Order: sequence, then structure tokens, then C-alpha cells
Amino acid sequence: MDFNTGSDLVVTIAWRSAMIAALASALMLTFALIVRRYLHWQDRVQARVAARWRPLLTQIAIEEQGFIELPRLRARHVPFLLEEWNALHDAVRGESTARLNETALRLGLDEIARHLMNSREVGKRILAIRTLGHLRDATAWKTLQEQLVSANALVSFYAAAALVRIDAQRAMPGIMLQVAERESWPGEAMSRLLVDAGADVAREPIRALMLSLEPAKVPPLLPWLSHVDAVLGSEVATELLRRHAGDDDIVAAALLVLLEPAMLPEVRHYASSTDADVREHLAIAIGNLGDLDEMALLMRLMGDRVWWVRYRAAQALLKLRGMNAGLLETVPARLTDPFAQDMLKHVRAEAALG
Amino acid sequence: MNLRVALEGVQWLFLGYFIVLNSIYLGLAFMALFGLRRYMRGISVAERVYSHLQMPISLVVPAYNEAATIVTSIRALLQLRYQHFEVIIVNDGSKDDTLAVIEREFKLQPFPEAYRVQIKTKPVRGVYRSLTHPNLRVIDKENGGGKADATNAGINAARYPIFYCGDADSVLDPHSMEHVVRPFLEDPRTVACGGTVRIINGCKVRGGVLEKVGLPRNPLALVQVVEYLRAFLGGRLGWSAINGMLIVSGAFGVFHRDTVVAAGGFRADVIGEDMEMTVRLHRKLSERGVRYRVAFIPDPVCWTDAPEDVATLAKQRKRWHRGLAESLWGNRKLCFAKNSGSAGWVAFPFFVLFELLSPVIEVGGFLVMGLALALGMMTGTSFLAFVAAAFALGVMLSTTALLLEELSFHTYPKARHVLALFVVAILENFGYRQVISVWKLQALYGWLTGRRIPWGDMKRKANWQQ
Repeated sequence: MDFNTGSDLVVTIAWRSAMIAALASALMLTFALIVRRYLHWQDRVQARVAARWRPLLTQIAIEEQGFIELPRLRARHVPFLLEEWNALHDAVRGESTARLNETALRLGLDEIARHLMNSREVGKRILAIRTLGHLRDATAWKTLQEQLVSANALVSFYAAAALVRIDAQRAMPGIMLQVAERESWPGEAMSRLLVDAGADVAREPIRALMLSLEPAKVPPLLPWLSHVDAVLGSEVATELLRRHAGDDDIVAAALLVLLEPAMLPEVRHYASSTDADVREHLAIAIGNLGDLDEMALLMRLMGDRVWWVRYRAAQALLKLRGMNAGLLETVPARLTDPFAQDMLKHVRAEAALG
Repeated sequence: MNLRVALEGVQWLFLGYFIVLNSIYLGLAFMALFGLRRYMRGISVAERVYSHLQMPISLVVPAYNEAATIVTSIRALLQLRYQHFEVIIVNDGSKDDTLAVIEREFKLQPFPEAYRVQIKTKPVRGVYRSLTHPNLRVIDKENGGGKADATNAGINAARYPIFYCGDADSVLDPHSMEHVVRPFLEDPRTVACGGTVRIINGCKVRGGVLEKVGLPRNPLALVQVVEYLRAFLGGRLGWSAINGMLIVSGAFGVFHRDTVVAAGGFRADVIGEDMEMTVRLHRKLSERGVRYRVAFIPDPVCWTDAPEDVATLAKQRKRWHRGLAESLWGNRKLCFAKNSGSAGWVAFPFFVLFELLSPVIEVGGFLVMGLALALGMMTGTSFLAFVAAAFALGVMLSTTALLLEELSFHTYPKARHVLALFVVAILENFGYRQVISVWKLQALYGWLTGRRIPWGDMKRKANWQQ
């Protein structure tokens, strides 16, 4: 029985593995505790910055006063101060923004922001972009344009916001190209920004772009456009419906943003579309724009094989111009399809509950 | 001589297994570390931008005999900080007053819903809508024998493109939905998203909302805190980085509704319907050559009650392992399949070798070496070396999870909590992990021999509720 020590090699490996793992565990635990202390320290610094600067910045923003002595700015306080300053800037309008900008220039935040634009940390870069945008720093135009095409969707979004703040008209062509290219951009946030900046500056570039885009890129942009400018959205949708009548995706998207009742005769035939989204969106469009002449068509759609088409058609029926309780009472008797009858009950109960 | 060769073989297998297993987990933890750093850096910014861009979501919550807790659960759901959501409670033929309690508290009214059956379930007896909360509906159905059938009924009634499914007794973070929809917004190919589930024992909950985080006093629950940290922050985050996550937890999962419907809904004839659904989505989508993503967010979005007694824990773990076996076997075509990517080529074989078969190697290895030691065929020093290696590697993995936690959310407020968890990470090697392996082995044997696992009731203390 000479083998009772086991193979030396395998035992040695086992011991060494155990020792290395134990050592690594001890190191990681120590590191975890150090990280915890560091983060607590950072929290304390942040709280100190907020306690010192927030009331001061708020006072500067809301009260017109003379020269206010500013405390000395320590390097480690800078990122937190920038956060405070930008957050306040997002919340105020008019004269207050000018006073905040003046304070930022006195503190040299513009220089700091330009320096932070080179940071490898996305968070710091975004902070810098927001600061330069709020400062309407035209000298940063080129750098911000570079950030606009960043692979990071959030960096590009904030760069777009900053460019709009500096010069909305000039920024628009570059931004529109990004809107068309990027699926990951928070479109609704962007539309809000454009509305705040005065959407009229964007009307023509948007119209031109929408009509020149390749068809596949249009559908996700149409709802976004209608947020920015509902009338423009409808005009573009009308034009797109005429140009791309056979493209189900474009038709479905365009039907949702239509505002023009005169378009209904042109789109009614989509009730026979093989695409369920097109039929569903047609029902919605009829509900938004139609009158009692559309009842028969909606009653037909209420017998559709797709639940959502039936649901939207029943909702649309209740919304039709001229619809009243008496007329609605006559509908069940005219519906032969049991699914349509069920859906009407469902939607009426829903409407009754509010 | 042959015995010597065999024993050496077992030694190499045992050691090699632990080293490879822990190296892979360590690799996953490092991937998780980088993913987490990137995630944490972008999180505050992303929240600011995406907070007003919220995808409507249906919250589907099956309830079976939950009369005592259902009102609190629903109130907590209705208090979620989210703009656009509906709550669908599915009363799965409860024998207690679950339906009556909801009816009274939320003023339910029968609703003539045009209920569509896209996934077949046990018959629905009625649909109700709340007069006080228009976004609350209750589906009352015949018992389907498990969570899957009830969830499917909820999916049938769901109106929105994505749905959350969870347990009625879990506590959700008020911001959980904001976090979990982000992958769907950022990448339209996302079909499912899971989040980190934490142990609620030892915490304080008021009105269904987590008020104070703490550690449980019960040793079994305390060990599970470490286990959950290891599984979610180390494992799942790492797997999600390579789109190889094979499980979206049943306690907290968000799915793309139409994709789940197209896959046939949750299977009512398996035990781990959550894992089975995730693996099936991987299989079906890769078979169709569809580009998709199963995502994971590290935020602690859901807090769940851990078993505090041995019998309940044993039932739970046997069920989990049986579910793992069923999910992998039922979707075995995913393994090394064309277009299956990391899920089929890395995660699936890993789960078979290092999760499904782990109890065979662990229990077998300890038994053989213990026997060799008892028969004098192996020295105590050698035996100790193997045990030390297995334990130390396990501790290292748990410590990695603790480190990840500190680098990201540092949920546990006091340094002594971290130290306590480290001590638990060491102590769990002395008995707990071995017992769990034995239960898993029993489950594996039961599955292979076709023995049924009785459902039985899970005993929950839920003493964190106030």
C-alpha cells in the first residue's frame, strides 16, 4: 500500500489552490471594506457640497441681487457642484438661467467642463456636455458635434440637447440624421426638447428628411414627429400614405397620426388589409376623425379575427362624431358576430367605469 | 495497482472539477464586474433620460390561497412608481377567501371582458374590475395545479406589449419597473429580462414596501443571502453579458408578451416553469434564426421570503433541481444547435455539467475520498488538501459576489453586515453545501426514475411584514 499519500502533484495543486483562493478571498474582503469606506466618504462630500452650494445657487437663481461672495471651490467638490448646478438649471427658466451662467463663469465651470469633455468616464463627459449646453457655449460647438455621433446613445442624446440649446436652427440637420439613424435614442425626450426650443425651427428640415428617408426608417419616427408637431406629423403622414400606399409599416404608422378627416375616403380600403396593425390603426383613425357614416365599416371591423382590431373598432364606434346613447342601443341588434357583440359589451362597460 | 489508478483518477476529477467550475464562475464574476461598472456609470444618466419614456407593462400575479397577504401585495403593486401599468391578479381557484377579500377591499365589479384565449388554460370563471383602481383586474379561474396555468390566464388578459410575472408574496422595489423596462427600451430585440432577487428575511416591510434592510437571524436564511448574492450578481449578470442566461427567475421576470404567446406560454406540466420558459425561448428563437436578447439587470428589484426550516428548504431545492433537469432535457435540442450562440454552445453544456450533474460529482467525490480515508488508502493530509481546495474556492466565489455588491448597490447598510456575510460564506462549507448537494442528488434520482414530487405547502414565516 505505497499509494496512501496520493499523487504528490495532485495534492500539491490542491493545497496551492486552497491557499491562493483563501488569499484572494481575504484580499477581496479587504478591498470590499475599503470600497465601502471610500463610497461613504464620497457620500459625505456630496452631502457637504449640497449643503453648502444648493441654497446659495438657489438664492442666486431666484433673487436678483448684487455681487455674492462665492466660497472657494475644492477640486474634489467639482463633479458634485456640476451636478447641483445642472439640476438647478434644468428646473429654472428665463433670467435665472443667465444668473446661474454668470456664476458658473465666475467659478470657471466652463473651463472645467471643456477639460472634462476628454474624460473616459461617460458620466463625467455627459456632465460636461450638459454644462456647456446650459452655458450656451458656442466655442464648444465642434466638440459637441463630435459627441453627437458617439456610439453611446446617451452621450449623443445629451450632445444633441446641448447643440439645440446653443443654436437650434444650425443644429437641426445633424440631429435629424441622428434621429433617423438611432433606434436607441429616447425620442420622446428629444421631441420635448425640440418643443421647448421652439419646434417651428425644425419644421422644414423635418419635413424634408421624413420624405427623403428610406421607407424602413419612417415608421418609428412618425409618432415622434407627431409629438414635436402634430399638424406637421399629419401633413407628412398624408404625403407618405400617397407615396407608399403598399407599405404596411408606413401605412400603419401614418394612420395613427392623421388629423385630416378628408383623408378617410382614401384610407377606408385598408379595412381589407392583410396586416392586422393596419386594420387596428385604421379603426383608431376612424375613431379620431370619423362620423356616423363610418358605423358600418367599424361594425365590420368589430368582427375581425384579431382581438385588438375588434377592441379598437368598438372603442372607435363609441367615439364617432354624432354617436349617442340611443343610437348605440340599436347596435347590438345589428351585430351578427358574437365576438363583435362581446367586444361591444366589453368596451361599453369600460366606458361606463371611466 | 488498479485501485491506486482509480483513486488517483477520482482525485484528479474532483480537483479538476472544482477548479474548472470555480474558474468559470470567477470568469463570469469578472464579466459581471465589468458589466456592472459600465451599468453603474450609466445608470443615473439613463434613469434621467428614460424616466419619462416608460413602456406600458402588465403585472400578472397568480394567487392561490393568499387571503392573508393579497391585499398588502396588491397595494404594494399599485404603489409602484411607474406611469403606465395594469395589475392582473389571477385567482387560481383558491380554496380560501382570496377573491372575497380582494372584492371587498378594491370594490370589484364583474366585467364583461372579451377575454381572448391565446394560450389554453383551465376555464376562466369570471373577470372583475376594480371601481377604486381602474388599472386593477382580477381573473377568477379554476385551479390549474400550478403557477404556470394561472400566469397563462393572466397573459391572455394582458393588454400591454410586455408583462411582469412574479409571486404574490414577493416585495417589489418601488422603482423596479423603471429599471426592468430599460433593456426593452434600449434594445428592441429584448424578449425577457430578469432582475436581482434578494432575501427579505431580517428586513422590515410596511404596507408591502421595504422600509429597512437587514440580515436575518435565522442561520438558514442567512446562508441563503450569500447564495442569492452569488447566484444573481456573480452568475446571472455574467451570463447575461454573453446572452447566455438560461433562467429568468419566477419571482421576478419581465417578458415580451407576443414572444411568449408564440412560444405557447408557460408549461403547466413542469416544475420549474420559469427556467423552462427561458430555455424554450432561447431554443425557439435560435431555431427560427431570430436575433434576440435575454437581459438581466443587477438592481435589487425584488425581495423574497427564504425558507427558515430544513424541511421547506429541502422541498424548495429538490423542486429547483428537478425543474433544472426538466428544463434542460425538454429543450435538449438547444445544446450545440446552429444559431444558438452562447446559450447553446456555452451556457447549456455548462448547466448540464456543472449544475445538473454537480451533485453526482460533489457527493460522489466526497464519498469516494471519505471511503479511501477510512480504509487507509489515502492520508489525512491529502484528504484535507482536497477539502480545503473545494472550500476555499467556494469561499472565494462568495467573496467575489460580496465585492460586486459593495462595488454596486451596497444594499446592506453596515460594515458588520459584510463581515457577517463573509463569515457565513466560510461556514456554509461545513455541512450546508453538502446537504444541499444530497438533496439535489435525490431530486436527480427522482427525475431519472420518474418519481413525482408532491407539491406540498411551502412554510413561510413572513415575520418581516408589518
